[in-house]
Amino acid sequence: MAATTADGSKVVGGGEKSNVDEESKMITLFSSDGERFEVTQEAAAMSQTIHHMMEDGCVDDEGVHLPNVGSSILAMVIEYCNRHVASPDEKEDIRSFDAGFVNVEHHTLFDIIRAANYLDVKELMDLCCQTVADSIKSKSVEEIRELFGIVNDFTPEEEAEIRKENQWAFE
Amino acid sequence: MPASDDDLAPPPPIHHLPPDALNNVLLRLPLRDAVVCRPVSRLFRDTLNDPFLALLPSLRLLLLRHPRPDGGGCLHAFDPHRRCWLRLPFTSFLPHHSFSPVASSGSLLYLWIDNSNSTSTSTPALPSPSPSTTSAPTSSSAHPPKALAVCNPFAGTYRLLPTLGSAWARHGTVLAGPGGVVLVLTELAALSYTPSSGSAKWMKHPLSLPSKPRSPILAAGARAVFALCDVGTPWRSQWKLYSCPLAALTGGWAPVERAAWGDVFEILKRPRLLAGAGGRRVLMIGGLRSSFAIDAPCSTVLILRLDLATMEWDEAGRMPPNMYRCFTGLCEAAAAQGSAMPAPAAGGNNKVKVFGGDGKVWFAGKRVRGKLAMWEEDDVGTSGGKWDWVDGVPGYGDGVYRGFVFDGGFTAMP
Repeated sequence: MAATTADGSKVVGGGEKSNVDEESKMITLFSSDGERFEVTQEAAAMSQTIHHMMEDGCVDDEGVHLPNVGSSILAMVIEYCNRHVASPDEKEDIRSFDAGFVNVEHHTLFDIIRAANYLDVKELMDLCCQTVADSIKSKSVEEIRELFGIVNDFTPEEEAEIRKENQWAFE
Repeated sequence: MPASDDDLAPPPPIHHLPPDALNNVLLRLPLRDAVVCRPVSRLFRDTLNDPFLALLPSLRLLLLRHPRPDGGGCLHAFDPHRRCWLRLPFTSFLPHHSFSPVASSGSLLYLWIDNSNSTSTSTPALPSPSPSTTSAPTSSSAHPPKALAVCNPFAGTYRLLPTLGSAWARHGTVLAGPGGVVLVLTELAALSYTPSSGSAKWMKHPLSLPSKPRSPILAAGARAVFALCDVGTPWRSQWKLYSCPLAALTGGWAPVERAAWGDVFEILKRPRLLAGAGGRRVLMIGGLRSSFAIDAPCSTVLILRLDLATMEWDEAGRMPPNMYRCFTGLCEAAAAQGSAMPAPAAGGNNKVKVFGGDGKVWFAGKRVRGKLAMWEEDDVGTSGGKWDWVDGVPGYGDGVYRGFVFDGGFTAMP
């Protein structure tokens, strides 16, 4: 598909595909709750899972069923892939898109991670996992539990023992 | 509080992540944050085991060697990245009494400990102590045998190396290298211990250097030991650089010199060697002589660097004048006078203790109370490195510290 750069000039997508038909070929994806999404093959190929299916000729005219991914999450993943194939070289724009993209609640972020893991979209996995890691840095044990809604399943003695093993980190 | 059996709340979403995804997240954490995560929940603790933590980059620290024999009860280390001091208790896993950390390689730390329980002592034929030591009796009963312990203070594990006569601990410099290689150097001989060689013994190598080796260091990347020897007269030191490949410790010592070096050794007073960044550089640090007169005062501290690939010297850094004045005690005097700084006095108690490694140098001095000057070598090598003060040196009143670089982590185990 054609993309527009910041100054308004049109360029063909970064994949430099000479076959225009190939670029605009669409593929249908079905979420677990039966919703239908049309995406370009190029965007869909960001998912290694789907890419291998396409290469192996496993994708029929009907499309690909993704029983593990709900519609709202699939919509987000598609938005990410579309944005990343559209102008892969515009680093500043992509960075600010990514920052906005991960600015969601943690449980949504985990759903996206699960989807990205299943669909094998490496860049999206890296982005989301880095976001989660960044939110852990410099926090105390209690803050980490609160952030993720984790209930402490240690007894006070067990917890004290673990802290003592590496006391230096807790001072 | 632990969740009760009646609690029907679903497990938190992070516990639903596939293991690969949780690993992906946790592998991005700095070591300290990963360790903080261990008590969060059982899932976190089980994931963050020692082999997992071994995958994380180690924590670069400056380890201080406390002047007191009991080590002040714990190891004190400075984290230059977070600019804070850490305490590493080691009495909990090291059941001995007196400690003296002396060297490190990777995440392994080497300490001398009293090994009075040992029944067999291998006492190498060691020359009597040099005249500069005290007149304490040298009988073995007054000096208990020592052993070198290699430990990982983060993982809480240790192992003893074979016992040595106490004279090695008192006079030897310990150098640690990759693969668990350990050297102890004294004036006339070197001991080496190589775990991969199969024999759990110290090997002795006579040294044939013209004088006592000063400031020996291990350039890990070059797999060689470097040291300075004084080949001058009793009235005037003349320093020369010697090196020896680790593979040829018996008879392998040779001078290192190039015509192009000119008088690089003449311009420094009391030079010391330290390993430069990356294992293939040697730093030589000393007072920059203001003239060639024997007792000329020094104008500042100079750091020269020898690149072992090109065998060329360059200036890596020099201490800023306002920092150097604090070591000579003049900043106090000038502050009292409120006028221009006087020139540094000749001689005097201006000794600056220099220690560090891997391109990081710390300076301590009697006149600089409770703080250290810190210099970090810069990768590109053109900017003169970074100078800074480090405050809050623990237990300063007990004396002036020495120390070395330590990469804390879980990557290597004793």
